[in-house]
Amino acid sequence: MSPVRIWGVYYTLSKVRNTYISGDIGCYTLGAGHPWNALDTCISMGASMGVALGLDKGRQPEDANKKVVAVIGDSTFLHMGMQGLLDLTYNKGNATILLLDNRAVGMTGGQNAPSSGINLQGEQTAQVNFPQLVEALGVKKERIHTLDPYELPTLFKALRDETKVDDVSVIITNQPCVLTERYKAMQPLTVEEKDCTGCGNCLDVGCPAILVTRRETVVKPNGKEKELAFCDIDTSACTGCNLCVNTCAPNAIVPAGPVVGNGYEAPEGLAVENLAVEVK
Amino acid sequence: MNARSPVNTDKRLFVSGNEAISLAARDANVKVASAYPGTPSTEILEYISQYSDIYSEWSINEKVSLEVAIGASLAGSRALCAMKHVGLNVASDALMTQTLIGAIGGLVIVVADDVGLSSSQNEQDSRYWGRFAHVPVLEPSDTQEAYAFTRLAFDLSEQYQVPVLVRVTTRICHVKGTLELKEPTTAEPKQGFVKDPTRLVMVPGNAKHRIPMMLERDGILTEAAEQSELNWVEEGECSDLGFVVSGVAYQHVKEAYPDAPVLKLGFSYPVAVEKIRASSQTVERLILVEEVEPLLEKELKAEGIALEGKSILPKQGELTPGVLKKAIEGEQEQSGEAKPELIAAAQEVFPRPPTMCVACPHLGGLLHTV
Repeated sequence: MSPVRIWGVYYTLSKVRNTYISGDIGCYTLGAGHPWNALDTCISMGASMGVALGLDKGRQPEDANKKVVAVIGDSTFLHMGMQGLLDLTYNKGNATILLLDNRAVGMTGGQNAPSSGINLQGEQTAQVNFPQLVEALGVKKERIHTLDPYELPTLFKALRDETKVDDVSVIITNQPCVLTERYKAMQPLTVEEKDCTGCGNCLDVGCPAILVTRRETVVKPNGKEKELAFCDIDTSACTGCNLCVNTCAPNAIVPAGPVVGNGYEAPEGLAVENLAVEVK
Repeated sequence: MNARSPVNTDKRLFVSGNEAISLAARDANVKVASAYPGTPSTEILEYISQYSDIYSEWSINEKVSLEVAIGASLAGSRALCAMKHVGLNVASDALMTQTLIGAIGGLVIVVADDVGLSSSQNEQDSRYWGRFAHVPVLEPSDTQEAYAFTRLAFDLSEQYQVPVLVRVTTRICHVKGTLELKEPTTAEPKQGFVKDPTRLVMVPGNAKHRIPMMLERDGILTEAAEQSELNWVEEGECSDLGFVVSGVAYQHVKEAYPDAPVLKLGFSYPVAVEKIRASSQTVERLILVEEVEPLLEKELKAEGIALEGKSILPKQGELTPGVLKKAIEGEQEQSGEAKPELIAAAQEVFPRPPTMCVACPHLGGLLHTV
């Protein structure tokens, strides 16, 4: 997985409470870092599956209500994760798997894998079908969801719903690695300085293209101090994925320059207020 | 096959090493046990599955199996993972990083080497993993020790926060012996899972800071081995010949040379070099008997301890009393090594090479067609 594709996933994971998250080896391991802090373990290729089962079965009474989530990328899953998922289903585990399919070996530069259906020589070849594969490994069809990781409310709802189910669930995210030709950059974004309130919500996405231009400390009516971080976007780095737009309540994040043909059209109801309701 | 015998409730039992290990898991308050079947370790999980207080599973392979045990350890529970020697090749990816994280709930890996290849593709020596992964290795020599060492392994694992290898061999796993049970552990885990990314998330920036911890732990474990009651000297009347032994070699040496002094290594890695050095000076000829690689031998010779090992002993197979006698005393057969009537009896056993079963579906489906 390449970082850009996972920000939405980790932004979502960082908002999920009462959860233990076993991680795996790949660029998505970076989700353990700031600001997401969204991974609790990282051991070896594919280990997120077995560790999730161990966390589930070895839990102490005080952890009885904790949810267990495992995070793994497509090529790591094919490398060593499949056996672990089979272990989870065979041994009646309870965990929600986030299978981050970006159809590439992202961390090493976006190389091809069976998930891409392209071999080393660039030829078309067999492409793995993840929903069919995980179903064959024992996951019930109704527990398999494929969704767009940029649609944060959908992702959050799927994660919230599936962690409530006492079974193995797999949520497959389906957007390609930004390092590959499959990825199509869109209209880059910028911040309308006059509209930015300094709330800093966009920073939680963890995108390197978002910069803090100014910090201020204000005193609220109740006497408490509050740190403000006013932001801008490095338009030359931005690819217009619009994840940050979802977090910006005052709609200060707008297309940079005139909107071109494939410019982003924000779906309705994606403002941060709606997310906040879900987060509870 | 899930061959099950009634659960033993007596205090004094006649059981195999594998059943002794399962009883140790029960009495050590293990919560999670996992394995992929593999000779000679298979029966460990079959027995454990009878204990309702332990979650037990057949895992998909040894790597997943170890990861399940790791997850349970991180959740605060005691966990046991059993496998045959080649299984640890598969599980090593997890082991080599888990050593940096260490154990929280006691984490014990029972690895069973098939010395003599009764049912394996090679005869590799799992004690190497102790060195490679910087984890302690305990080597029981009989049923009672298989029980006691496995229980002790959980205490060591929690005391030093390290996965512990209990290395057994086919002879230990399958031979039955007397076992006296000890009082079960009653201590419950102190706490559940605690988020600690700098310890549990082994990205480069975190892992590099765990390596000094591991190296420091090596020193602490070496001192523990030097002080351990599992490494002890058995005095003998003989002053011209003495032995250093690990694992089941102890039994073979005692049978072949009952009067010779023996330094028995139960906590065989890290190596209690100073303890061995001290006792090496009390005999004229010191022979190291270990199955199967000259592992301790090389390490002790590097420490300047004069001893003999694989220069005279076979580098393959079990070092049974007859093998020892022949190797140590030359070609001359010893009258006392094996009773003629036993040899005669053995010769009458009809050879039973491995073969397919009667009516096996593979006979037609594969073998006959091919």
